[in-house]
Amino acid sequence: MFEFTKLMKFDVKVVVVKDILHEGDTARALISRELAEKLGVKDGGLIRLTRGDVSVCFEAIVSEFAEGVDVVIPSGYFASRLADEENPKLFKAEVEKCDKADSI
Amino acid sequence: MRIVCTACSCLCDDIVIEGGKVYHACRKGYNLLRGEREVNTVDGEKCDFEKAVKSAIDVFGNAKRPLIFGLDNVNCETQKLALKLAKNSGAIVADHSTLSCGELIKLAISRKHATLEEFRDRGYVSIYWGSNPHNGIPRHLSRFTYYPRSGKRQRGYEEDRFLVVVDVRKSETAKIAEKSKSGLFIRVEKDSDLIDSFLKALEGKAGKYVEVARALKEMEKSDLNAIFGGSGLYFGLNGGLESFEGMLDRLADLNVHFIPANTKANMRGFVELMLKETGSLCYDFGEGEACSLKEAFSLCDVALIVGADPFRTVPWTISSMIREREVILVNSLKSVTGRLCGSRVKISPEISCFSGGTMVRSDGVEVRLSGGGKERSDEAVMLSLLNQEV
Repeated sequence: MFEFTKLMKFDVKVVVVKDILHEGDTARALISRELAEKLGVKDGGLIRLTRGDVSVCFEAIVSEFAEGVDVVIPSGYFASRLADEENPKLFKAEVEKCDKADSI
Repeated sequence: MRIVCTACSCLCDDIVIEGGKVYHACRKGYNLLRGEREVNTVDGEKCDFEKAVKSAIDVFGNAKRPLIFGLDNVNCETQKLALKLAKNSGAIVADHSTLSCGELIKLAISRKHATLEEFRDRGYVSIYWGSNPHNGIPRHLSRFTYYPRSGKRQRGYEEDRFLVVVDVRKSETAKIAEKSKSGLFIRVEKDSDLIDSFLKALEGKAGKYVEVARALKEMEKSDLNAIFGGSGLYFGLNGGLESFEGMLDRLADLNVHFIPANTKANMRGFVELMLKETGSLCYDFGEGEACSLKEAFSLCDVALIVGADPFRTVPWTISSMIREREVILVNSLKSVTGRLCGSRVKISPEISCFSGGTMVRSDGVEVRLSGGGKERSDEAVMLSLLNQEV
């Protein structure tokens, strides 16, 4: 069956935080319950964040700790790919579903 | 053996290693002490420490525009040697402070503030603003601010402490504050609005965030309160540090001190040294002027990375530039930069916990590290580069 949510793309607020539990070789991001429902993503589902010409695919973890923003990324390699020097902590990115999480 | 942990700016001095086990360390500390070690290599070939250092001397000696980057996780003695090396070789010197808490540390240096021990013994209201100690400085709450029973504050968090968390999202620490009777979580959208609310509340008016009235009421109960500001505060202010400083001036009557939080182990030591020696946080000794981190990475031909992992901590638009440079990586633990950068030389010194010397904690207190005189320390590597001999 065709998944219409795969075609959905919209802007989200992303915050980069220190998170030693979720930082690692596989890209993981915490997402709010609200965003998960909007995107049709379950815990462990996959999302792609795009900022300018850079995209990173994350395994999504639905978490209360993303409440207040849409996506929380642990600081590290994947966050540095998306961040810029102006504000490496808080920025907007485009989100959509994807098929495979990035890893180092 | 009792050691000082150098995994974060808490510099916990109660870590015990006995029978191969690590006691009292947090997850960050344990990762530092038990993480996978880097291997000494030259052009990808494994070698011994001495050969790697010798190659580093050759590569660095041939540099026309070297960069020395990192230095936040090494002792003050190594930082001083690095600056001397930079002066002698016309190198650019930079750390992470321009990207995160440098301006907050400068602000703290310019103001009188309590030490963490004084706060542990007397402090009442702790405001974590743009900082989530749960992950960044995991033992900060238990050693210094919210949980300790110490000095005048023997009843701990039940009655003798008050926790305020200011964040754009509900962090782990925010959850503690939200659930506690002696806590308050203020979720902000714009930090400037919160500053405005504090100033209005001081005049008896209501601002956007009415919760500040309770925080101010609690502050009146104590002769020592503190704002612990992290990088979230710095970026949240969006350059408006003056308004924050103005607010601190107004809050001084309520005995509110400002102490940086979530900095790297010895970032304060580096900032103090750089301000004393150069007046800026990122300095080009070749040109004799301050420069930006982007300029530092783009201008160099050889990058000496010491105790840092720029591919993890510096935006890719800047850090990726060193892929086209010759890189000397001095890191005790395996790093993403070490894996992806194709460094000319990798040197794995002793972990800084055992290097001896001193580090400066985030509150400005000098802490003496365990060990010392190690032949394979960061300091020994820097000294070899300076003297051009192993």
